[in-house]
Amino acid sequence: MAPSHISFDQSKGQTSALQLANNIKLAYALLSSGNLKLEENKDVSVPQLVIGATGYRLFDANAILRYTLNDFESEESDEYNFALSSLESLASHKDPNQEHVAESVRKSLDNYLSSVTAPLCATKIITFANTYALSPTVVEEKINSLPETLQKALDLAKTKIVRSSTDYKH
Amino acid sequence: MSSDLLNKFAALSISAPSLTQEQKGLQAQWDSVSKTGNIQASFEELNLHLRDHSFVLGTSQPTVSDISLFEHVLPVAKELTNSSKDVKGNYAKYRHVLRWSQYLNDLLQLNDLTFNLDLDLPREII
Repeated sequence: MAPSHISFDQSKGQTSALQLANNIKLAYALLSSGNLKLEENKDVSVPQLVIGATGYRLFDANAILRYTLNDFESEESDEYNFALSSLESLASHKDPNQEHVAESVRKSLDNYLSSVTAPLCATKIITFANTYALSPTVVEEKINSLPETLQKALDLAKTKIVRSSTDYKH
Repeated sequence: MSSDLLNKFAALSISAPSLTQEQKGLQAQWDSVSKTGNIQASFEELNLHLRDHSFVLGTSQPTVSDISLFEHVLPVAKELTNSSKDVKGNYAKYRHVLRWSQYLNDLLQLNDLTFNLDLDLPREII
C-alpha cells in the first residue's frame, strides 16, 4: 500500500500562533494515526494530509485531525464555533487586540478547558491547541498536566515552528 | 445555523446525502474555512477543488456546506466579476469557483451576481 503523508505548517506568511495551533493538531494526528500509517513529509511546508492509496488530500489542520481520528462529533457545538470563529481567527491575526486575546483565552479556560483528560475528542484538542497558541504561559499556569499524547504532540509541535516576517513589528 | 441563504436552501428540500469518511473530512475542512472566515487564503484551494468536483463535498447535489461557504465567497466573486481590471484574467483564473457560484446564485434565485458568458477564455492548462 502506498504510504500516506502528513506535513507540518512551516509557511512563512503565517503568524507563529496559527502555526503552533496547526502544528499541535497535526502532531496529534501523526501520533494517533493508527491504521493510516502516516509518515511525515518534510518536503512540504504547509499543512497537508495525502492518503497514498487514493490521492485524497486535505489542507486544513482541523479537518486533518478530525479525519485521522475519525471524529466528526460536535462540529456544530458552541465550543467548536468559539474555537474557530474566535480563537483561531485571533491566532491568524497579525496584530490582535491583546485585551480581546486575554478575554478569549480566559473564556476558553473557564468554559471549555476546566478538564483536559484522556480520552480527548477532536473538538477538545482543537480548543486546547488554539487556546495554547494564543497564550502558552497562561494555559501552562492553569493546566498542570496533560494527557500523554497531547503532551507529546505539544513537544513535537514546538520543534516545527519557524519564525516568519509576521513576527516582527515594523 | 441560520441565514437567508441557508433558509432559501432549506426551502428547496434537497435531501442531505449520507457521507463517507472522506466526505466528512471535506465537510470539516470547508466548514473550518467558513467559520474562521479564512476564505481569501483558501480561494485558490477552493478553485482547484471545484475543478474536479461539482460541489465541495464531492456530492452530486449541493449541501449545506456549499451554501455556508458560498456566503463567504459571494462578496469575493462579486468583486472579481465586477472588477474593472483584468476581468478576463479573473474569469480564467477562478473559472471553477465562478461556475459553482453561478450555479448556486441561480439555484437560490439571487440577483447578486451577473456573469459575462460571452468571454472567450484561454484553455486551462492542468
